[in-house]
Amino acid sequence: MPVAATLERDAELMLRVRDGCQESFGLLLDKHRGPVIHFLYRMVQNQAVAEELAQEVFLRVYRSRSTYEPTAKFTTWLFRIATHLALNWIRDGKREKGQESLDEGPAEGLVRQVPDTAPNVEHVLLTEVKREEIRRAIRALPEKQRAAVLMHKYHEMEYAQIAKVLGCSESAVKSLLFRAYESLRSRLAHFAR
Amino acid sequence: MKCPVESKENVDLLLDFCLGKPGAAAAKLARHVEVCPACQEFCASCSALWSDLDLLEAPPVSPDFNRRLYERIEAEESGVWRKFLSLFRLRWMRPATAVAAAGMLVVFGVLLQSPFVPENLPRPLMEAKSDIDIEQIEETLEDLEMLRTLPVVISTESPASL
Repeated sequence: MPVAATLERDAELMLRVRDGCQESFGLLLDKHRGPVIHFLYRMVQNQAVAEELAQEVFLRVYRSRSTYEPTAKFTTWLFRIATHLALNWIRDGKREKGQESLDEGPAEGLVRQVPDTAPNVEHVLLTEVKREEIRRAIRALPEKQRAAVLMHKYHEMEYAQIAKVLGCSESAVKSLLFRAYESLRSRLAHFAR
Repeated sequence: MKCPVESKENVDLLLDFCLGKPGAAAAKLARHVEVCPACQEFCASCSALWSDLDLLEAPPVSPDFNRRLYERIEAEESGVWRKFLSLFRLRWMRPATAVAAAGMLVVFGVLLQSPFVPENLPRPLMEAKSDIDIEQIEETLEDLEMLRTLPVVISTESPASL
């Protein structure tokens, strides 16, 4: 099966990294940095922080290369590190609430747009408002629910894998997801269809 | 089958069904959803939510991400080496200094044993034996050099002059 072959390939590459093959680390990096950064971005909602945390994820993978054993899927391990770092950052951020760097780009990942006289500017602004509402709704979720939703929705992970990443049972993951989607549905229900 | 929304059982199956993910209970659920308003509303709002979540795109990755990561890896690895080598260097210095000092003592000892050294050693040399000081050793060596030349001076005098 193609999916299983891809997963085995990741473990194979990581074993080569363990044996000293730098090229294999490069291949893993190129393949997984996008998903990891995107996951972290949606968790922390800051691109600079997401990239910084992602750097730390891959640094830890590299540091652990000599003791790597393919006991779980490579992506499970990767997302476990990423989730752990994101949760720590969020918890630390709650203690330092309200501080925002002026050196960073647009707050909370908003894309800075210069308004122009094009006729669809209202649509663009409304979409941006909607996006901001969605970000706020996700940010309002408890961290574990947030992580579970992001892995389920954006990375199409199965319940079993999410459970391994979060270190809980499959039934706990299903409960987390149900509560998370219920919260999101109620917060975003005013977006009429 | 029991309504998943009301009983809170098998909600994960309902969620997968609403999101179009194939499952073993898909056929059973399809029949239930057709007749259950609560599940229909759940599925409709889940599909809408799923579409809304698609709006949350992530920005592109910085083009220098890899370069920065490799720089960090290199800095970390060379930092480890530097620490190791500095420890190594410090340890070498101590034996090297000890070897140099020992060498000078050996030279000093050899000179003391030399047949050209007179019995009555000058006072500075006697004091140098108990309190090793490099400057004193240097002065003593100069004294010894001077003393070494004396027998030559004496031997050049003719017996007649004595």
